[in-house]
Amino acid sequence: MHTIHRTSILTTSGLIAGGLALVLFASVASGQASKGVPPSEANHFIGTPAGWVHPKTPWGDPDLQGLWPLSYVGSTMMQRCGGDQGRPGPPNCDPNRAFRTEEEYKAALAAAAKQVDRYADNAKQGEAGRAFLTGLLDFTVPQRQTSLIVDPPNGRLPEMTAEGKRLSALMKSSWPLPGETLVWDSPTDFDTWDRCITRGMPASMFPFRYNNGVQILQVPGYVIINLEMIHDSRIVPVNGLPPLSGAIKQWMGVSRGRWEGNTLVVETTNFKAGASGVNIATVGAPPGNRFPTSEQMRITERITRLNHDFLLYEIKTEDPVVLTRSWTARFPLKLDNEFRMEEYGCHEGNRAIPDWISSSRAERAAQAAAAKQ
Amino acid sequence: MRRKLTFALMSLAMLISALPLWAHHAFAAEFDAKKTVKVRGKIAKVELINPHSWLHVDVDNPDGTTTHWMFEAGTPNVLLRRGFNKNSLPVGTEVIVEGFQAKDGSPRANGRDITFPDGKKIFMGSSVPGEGPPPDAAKQ
Repeated sequence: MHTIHRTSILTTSGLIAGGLALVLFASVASGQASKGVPPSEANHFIGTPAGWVHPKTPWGDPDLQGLWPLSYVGSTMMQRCGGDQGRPGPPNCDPNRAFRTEEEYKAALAAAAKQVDRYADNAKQGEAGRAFLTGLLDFTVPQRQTSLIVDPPNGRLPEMTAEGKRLSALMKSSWPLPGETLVWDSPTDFDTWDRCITRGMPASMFPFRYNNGVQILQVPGYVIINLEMIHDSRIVPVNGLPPLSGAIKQWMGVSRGRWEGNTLVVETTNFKAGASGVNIATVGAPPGNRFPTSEQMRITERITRLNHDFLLYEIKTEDPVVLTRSWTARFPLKLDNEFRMEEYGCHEGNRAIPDWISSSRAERAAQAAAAKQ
Repeated sequence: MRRKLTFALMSLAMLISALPLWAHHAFAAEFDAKKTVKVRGKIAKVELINPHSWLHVDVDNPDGTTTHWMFEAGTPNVLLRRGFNKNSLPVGTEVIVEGFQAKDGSPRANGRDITFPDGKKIFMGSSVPGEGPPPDAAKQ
């Protein structure tokens, strides 16, 4: 009975996804003026004005260029009805409700408008030093959707396979699981983000607390997705380049893109396993930075510009080794060419690794000395 | 019992509010939340680097030696986007810095607060209109 119910949910989800794709393509047929599409749940409340013509590059590709910071959706929980880093979510949350009501959305906007800009407030009081020492976050904007994940229908990450759980238990990080005490003796005792190597995929395409810059650049035959955090640049050929040998593995995978109407579809494979697939710096992600990925992971992104200021971004992750089913996130991103994407050299200034090891050893030595007394 | 619980929650809230807003890595990995430090010295260097900025402070000891303290600070990119820059904390300024010391006991800490010796809060530099430093701030 349970299986039948689950199948019907999956089928419904598939129909919704298919319907959404049709709506998107109908709204922005290549090179033609849009007939206009009103905001609705299907387009995440990003409408397309009648008469709008999708911009093109000089060589005729749909033009997606600009800065699209992920912080636009940075306050939206990755997983529905959950708290941050595995904490309990809000009481009476309805896992079947993917969008806020109009009243709830307006209330969230009003609450956000009252929030103090911590830096401006500190500066006003002459406390810039505290902002410098304790850090600042990128600005975020409340959204209509209740989670970034839209499939599974409950808006949550799917269950791991037995192998996924085994791999997860082998992963290392500076980020403890609840109740866990970690020790470090080697750089390999840390995760790839701790070590400034990569956030990996799909984690890199989700909002973080800070450093949310995403820049799309285009040249004939290629789209470049330039990321502020860890300064990863994803080079996506859209010129029919054949796939690379499966022997070549990279942290960010190997991408191949194509245009379906005005939608950029990017398929990425050839992953080097080991980075956490989701990162604790995304609000509502699980704790511990130990969500494994395998070389079998396959990621499909669909990027569709719905009007001058907004695009709808969708990312689907399949990994039969680690996950019992695929999962998909979808959210709008807003053009913000005033966003200053700063340099992010990280490894060079990452004193943390030797400092952590030194602290960990000192802590254990102190505990051992105390135990002897 | 209820009062004790309320006090415990308040203490926890105060502790959390004193810890960094967010970090590239876990605070507890390196620093001891029970080991608070407060030093008075001159800013020797400000490193606006990733993943974390560092504030260097030279502290004169009674025996004539100098201890070079390092305070871990926030990630610089968001600060830079809001107008913070290398002139916001000038080298040579005398400051009092509070934070949480590294577990290995070295003069390294996670920074929490900076004030002038006279109790005034640290100034903004010239990066925000109308919020510049007092004219003689650099001499203090």
